[in-house]
Amino acid sequence: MKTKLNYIYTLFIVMGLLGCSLEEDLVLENPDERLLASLEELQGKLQNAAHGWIGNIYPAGGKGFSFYFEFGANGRVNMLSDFNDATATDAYESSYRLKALQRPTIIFDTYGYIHLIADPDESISGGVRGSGLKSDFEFAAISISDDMLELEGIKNGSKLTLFAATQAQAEAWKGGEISEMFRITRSFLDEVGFPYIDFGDGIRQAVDISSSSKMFQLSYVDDNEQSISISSNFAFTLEGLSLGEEMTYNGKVIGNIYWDQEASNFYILYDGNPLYFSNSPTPIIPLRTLFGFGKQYNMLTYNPLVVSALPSKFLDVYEAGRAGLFGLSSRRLNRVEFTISGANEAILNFAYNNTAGSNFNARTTYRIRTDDEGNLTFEFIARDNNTNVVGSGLASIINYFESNKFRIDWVAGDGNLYGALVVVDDDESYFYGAF
Amino acid sequence: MKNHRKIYQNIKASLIFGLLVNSFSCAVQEDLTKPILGLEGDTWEKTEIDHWLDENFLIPYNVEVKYRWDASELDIDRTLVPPHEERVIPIMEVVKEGWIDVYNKETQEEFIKRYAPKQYQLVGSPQYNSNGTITVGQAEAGRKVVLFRVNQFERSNQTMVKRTLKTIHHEFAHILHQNIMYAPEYKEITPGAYTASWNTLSDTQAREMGFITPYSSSSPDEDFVEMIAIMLTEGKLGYESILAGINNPQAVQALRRKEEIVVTYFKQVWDIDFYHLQETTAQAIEEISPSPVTPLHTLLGVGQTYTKMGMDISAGEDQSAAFLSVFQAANEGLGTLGNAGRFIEALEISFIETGKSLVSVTYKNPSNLNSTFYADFGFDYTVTPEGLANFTYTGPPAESVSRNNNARVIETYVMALMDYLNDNNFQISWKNGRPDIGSSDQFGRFTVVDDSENFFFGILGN
Repeated sequence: MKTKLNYIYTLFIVMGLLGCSLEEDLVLENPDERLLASLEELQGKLQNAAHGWIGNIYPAGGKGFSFYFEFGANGRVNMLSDFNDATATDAYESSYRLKALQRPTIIFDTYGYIHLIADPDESISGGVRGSGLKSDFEFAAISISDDMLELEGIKNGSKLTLFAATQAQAEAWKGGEISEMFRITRSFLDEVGFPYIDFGDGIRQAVDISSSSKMFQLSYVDDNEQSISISSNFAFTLEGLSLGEEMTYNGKVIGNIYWDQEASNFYILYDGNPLYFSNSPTPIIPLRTLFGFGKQYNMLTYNPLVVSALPSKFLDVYEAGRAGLFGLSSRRLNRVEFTISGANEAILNFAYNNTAGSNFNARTTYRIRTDDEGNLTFEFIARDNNTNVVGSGLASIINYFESNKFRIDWVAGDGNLYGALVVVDDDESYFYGAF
Repeated sequence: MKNHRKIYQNIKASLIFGLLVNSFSCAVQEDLTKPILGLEGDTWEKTEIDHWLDENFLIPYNVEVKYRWDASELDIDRTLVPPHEERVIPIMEVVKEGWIDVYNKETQEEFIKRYAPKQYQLVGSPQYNSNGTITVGQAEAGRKVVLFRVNQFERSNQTMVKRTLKTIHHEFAHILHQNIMYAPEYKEITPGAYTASWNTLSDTQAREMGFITPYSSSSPDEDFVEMIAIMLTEGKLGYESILAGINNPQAVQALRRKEEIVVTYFKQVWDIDFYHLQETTAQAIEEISPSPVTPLHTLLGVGQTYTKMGMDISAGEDQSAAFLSVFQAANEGLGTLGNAGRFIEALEISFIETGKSLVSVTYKNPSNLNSTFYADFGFDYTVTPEGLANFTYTGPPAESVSRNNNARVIETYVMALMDYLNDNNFQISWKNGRPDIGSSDQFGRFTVVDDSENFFFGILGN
């Protein structure tokens, strides 16, 4: 019995101690003190980084934005951002304060560049009226270390990971080099034809960079004529473009996009290795997916006065046809039009005039035959009366269409882009024209 | 049993002991010096803005102006942003000049100190509502007022100044009627027309129904404070022009009734002359953000807003010395007519016919002060697009009526006045450079070209 009683005494004493031990934990201190300590720690980190902080926000409403921050001890912060040219070049000072909410919290409490994307005025944020780009300017600290602060937006959950800037980065930001990256990207896109990335798997991935919507996209058309694309929003950084979402291709990670000043070219890190953009003079998306009945384009017009003279054997064929037609009472050939006029039907039309100046058309209608490789042949269906009259003069051109097998492709020359029917097995022979 | 009892006692003792241990250990724990986080409110190093707000709002009126973001003060379901720092002082200056200072002129300073909302919260953006409207101001129980859209505020934009002050006056009027209610008759002026779907009404529709704004139609309280806010911020002129634009006479009548109750309420409850408050407010707004001035010469003439200008000579001390000496010469000259001591009482220049003007002299004979005499003198009149006026004297009009005949009698005696007009060129302007805001009496001035010390002015009429 005595033992039992001792047991009960002990139990009560322990309970008594236990009841309070939650408050009196000398090892863990109390939560308020811990919060206060982490606030002080956060303040220390913010203002003690010798060269400020760099971080990107990819708000829930789309796009991506980079920021440079210089926090002062007095609640002042200077910001730069890739939001636009002005915010990238002119630092703007506003206020911030730290507050102990459930977690140590940093509040950008008067308007600065970080508020632009959160502004509910759509004409400012470029987002949706009433909610902007769904970004944040109150952030809770998730983790705090000397050179990295992980923050999370309280209202919209935007992630903002701040990295302590190096002296070189700080100088570059303050020197307006983000705006230089805008310029580089703009002029790259202006000057380059059609950029693509060759991942070495036989597929050329068209590169699409939209500075206004801050989207980076890779796309190609697969064997089933389906457009396959992967994309991510991005922010401009000193190095290039920093992607907001992880992109993978063939199971490997596509890293950020970097600018190589010496090579005047962008590259991505693919599985850790640099992969430079290639440049095509013609679009990467195959013309066959755009050209056809009911598609974006269905007609090509060859008019020697309008299109550039490209090194195609068709030019000789055309010349022979022109001369042949001229031999028939001096009729003048003006242009040749090729139209996909139905699901499996094409029309070859010759526009010409007689010596009196009257305009005429001579049409031949074909059935389109497509072989397993997608190459086309044209099978005669009918010809109109004018073709009955002048067809003999145009025989060289008519024969060209009737006796060759073609594939549809882009051709470029003199800075112009045309559609072409390229003779299979002879890349130097193609009918081409403007859309 | 004995054992059991002992166990019971022991248990009891241990319970007490346990409790003691409990309370003892807790008592030790209590550290009253420990800061409780967040309880003392947010603090930061004061900036110039903070000092300015302290000096102009907190210290004199115990009004706290919060401009730094504090999510707990605002609707968490809305997307809002804090104000730009550089907009804070400009907008609060206008609040002070267009509201506090105005009331201080009309009341004891205690009035604002006592009834002002205790807190202003500034927000950079408008608050967007799901029905497509935006909120620009909000009040909570007379304690706190939220001013939105601060980032768009510009002192030089009078429309924006008026909108901001309208919010301030609107919310302050709520506080006033929450302290002492307005007359219940107010609610009976447009009963049954109050609607929750006020936002579907246009300004015009609301006014034709007897509401000064669409929001007025949401409830009698809103109606009452909207009337006050509009009458104050639009001034007498703006308010009258709103009423003049209403076609429905019943609506105008309803608004007049509402106006009357507002004016009575201010007088009886707060001992404030509302029309004077209205004039003071209009003047303040005009000083904050002057409206563009329409040159008087485009408003003065045949068929214009003003067709005549009168001079009451008894108020003549503001007239220029040069003009006064001319006037005196004419006045004394008139006195010598038959040595009867006739004297000039008033002058008026009127524009009744294109290219012509008429100067009318009102005079009296001391022998019969109950009789007033009039004499008209004709001038050819031209005015340039720049407002340069030229008078050429043509004598009393030919028609044989007493005014003209009188003129023929006194002409030589008052010739100094006619010569003055005939011999000078005048620049027409508003007496004080611009119309006197909030006043129904407006004054014009004719200044001799190249002699700014030589002018006469008078009250404009038609």
